[in-house]
Amino acid sequence: MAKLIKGVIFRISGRYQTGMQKEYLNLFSILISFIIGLSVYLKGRNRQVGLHFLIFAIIITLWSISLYFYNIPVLLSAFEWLKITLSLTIIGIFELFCFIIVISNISLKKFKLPLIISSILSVAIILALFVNNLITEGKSYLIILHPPSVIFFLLLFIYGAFGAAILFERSLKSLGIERLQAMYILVGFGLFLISTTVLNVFIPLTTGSGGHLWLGPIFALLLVGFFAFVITRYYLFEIRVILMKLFVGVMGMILLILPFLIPSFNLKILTTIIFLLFCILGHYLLKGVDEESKRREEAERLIGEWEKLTRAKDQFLLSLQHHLRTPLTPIKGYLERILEGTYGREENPVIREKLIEMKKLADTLYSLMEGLLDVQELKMGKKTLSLEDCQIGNLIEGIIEESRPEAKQKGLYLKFEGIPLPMIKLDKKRIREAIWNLVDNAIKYTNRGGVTIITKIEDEKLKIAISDTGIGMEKEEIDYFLQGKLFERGGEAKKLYGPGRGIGLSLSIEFVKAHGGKIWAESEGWGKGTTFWIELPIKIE
Amino acid sequence: MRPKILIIEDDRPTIKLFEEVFSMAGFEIEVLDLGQKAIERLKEIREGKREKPDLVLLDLILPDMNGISVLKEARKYPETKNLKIYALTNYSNPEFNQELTKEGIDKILIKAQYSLKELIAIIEEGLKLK
Repeated sequence: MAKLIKGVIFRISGRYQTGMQKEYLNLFSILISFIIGLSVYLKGRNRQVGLHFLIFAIIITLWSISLYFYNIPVLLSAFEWLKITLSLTIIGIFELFCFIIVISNISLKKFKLPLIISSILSVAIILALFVNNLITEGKSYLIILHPPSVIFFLLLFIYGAFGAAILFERSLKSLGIERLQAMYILVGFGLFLISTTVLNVFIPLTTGSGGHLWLGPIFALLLVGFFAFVITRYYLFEIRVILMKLFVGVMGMILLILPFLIPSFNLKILTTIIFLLFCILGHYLLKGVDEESKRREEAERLIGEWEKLTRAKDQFLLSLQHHLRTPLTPIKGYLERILEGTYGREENPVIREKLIEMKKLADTLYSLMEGLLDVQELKMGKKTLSLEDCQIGNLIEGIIEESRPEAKQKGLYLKFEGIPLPMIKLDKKRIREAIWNLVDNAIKYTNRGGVTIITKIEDEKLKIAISDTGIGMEKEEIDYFLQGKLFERGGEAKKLYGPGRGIGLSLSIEFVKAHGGKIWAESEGWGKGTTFWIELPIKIE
Repeated sequence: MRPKILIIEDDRPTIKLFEEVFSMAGFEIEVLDLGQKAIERLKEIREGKREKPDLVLLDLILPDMNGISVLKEARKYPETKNLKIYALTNYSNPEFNQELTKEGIDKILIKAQYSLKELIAIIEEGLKLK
């Protein structure tokens, strides 16, 4: 004996007494592990996660089978089966590490080589060092650990700690579902490490018996089931809360019973302390989960509320459109009839001029409402674009001709520096409206100089720039614009004009967006002019 | 003989304008300002108590019901099935338009979209078709 105790003697496992129920339980858990693994792989939404989970489940299944045959040896001796069990244990841990990496959205590539080397090294250590130093003692096996086997435990520790660290970081930094997922896997991983240590090291070391080993596959099954749940059902939070409580409860019970099963007094105290620590940890864990659950409920309630409000807003806009148009009909109608001379000819040229102005404004009001309605319906998906071949150069020239009187009145130049462009498929009416609004704004916000329109093609995209020498935009204002906050205008605009570029711009943005394009603004700052860019994908069919 | 137009419309200023414009254009017009009144009129037409109008201009938003119900009622019976009915409204909504088309509306006109001249031209064009 003395010769053998050179290294640390380590009782790894012993055969347990066979009993019918335990055997059935074991076979049952083998079957279920495999079925869970397969169904997650087939039904899961993330193929890679599902695949690694399946591999893990298969390893657990094989491990359970080898443990079963170790107990009731068939084909090979119990000793050979034990080698297989131990090798599978270590490979299972490494696969669990892969699973953690994949579910954390980290690329597995750079871990592949170290993992393969570690696996081979670990299995070699098991086969060469552990197993060759096994001695039998009744129904148990004893292992003598030599110094090189430190590498084995070091590897286990590194991967275990690294996996836990990744999960811990993710549970801190991620938000929402991802965070919960990481938290649950961390808990599962923790339970796995604890149960493995308790079953394979703690109990054998203290009791010297392997009678509890039938628990192994059951624990493994629980672990597989728990992970499967986290992968597939993570959106059903309530069920997870219940499962979580159940799990903490079961673990607590086991830790509570443990001191009564252990003969050594010191270890009784130790397990009691572990139990108390677990109670504290469990308390905070469940508290956190409950709070998360409440927050989630609140978020769901708010989403529901928001959807209701959006529907109400859409309905409101549609009925607003009806109510605003109703008085416009007689206003436009009577103006039309007055100007036609239906009620007698208006001789006063000033009154006539004002009436023409009023008619023009009523028409503008009408088309503005039409534009808003159009945008609303495009957004709601009730309308689609009507694309046709369009010569954008002609379109811009038309806009310039229309805007020229206003520019002339303000003493501004209006230039078009276009290049010959191919025919492009566009919704003419809406793109015209989008460019017109930008040109109109440019004139409105410029008091000296003028407006230049440039077209060019870059990366198969049509770019239209509308540059003015006007008041410019502050960086803050451009940021607002890019964030879609259109109705918060820069300070200077308020001084110059009343209602601003908001509504016209929002129409432009929506029409360009509907074409799959984008609009952005550039400005050197206050007083230095603004350039609005429209970018449209070129569709030639 | 002057063509008869039945206008189902509830907005007072619009009614006044239409009365004026359509009379001057040479139509004989009658205005009903409730959906219920329109339904009763359809019944009277069925029973032969009233003459059939040549054209019905139907507003879609009425105080007591929506215009589609009136259209459906008209299309239900053989006597009024072939009535020429134009929706003349400010309420344009693709879903609404779809339903109107399904129920067999003859035309959908947005009031403010047309000048009065254009509106009369459209109606005259419609009256020519039998």
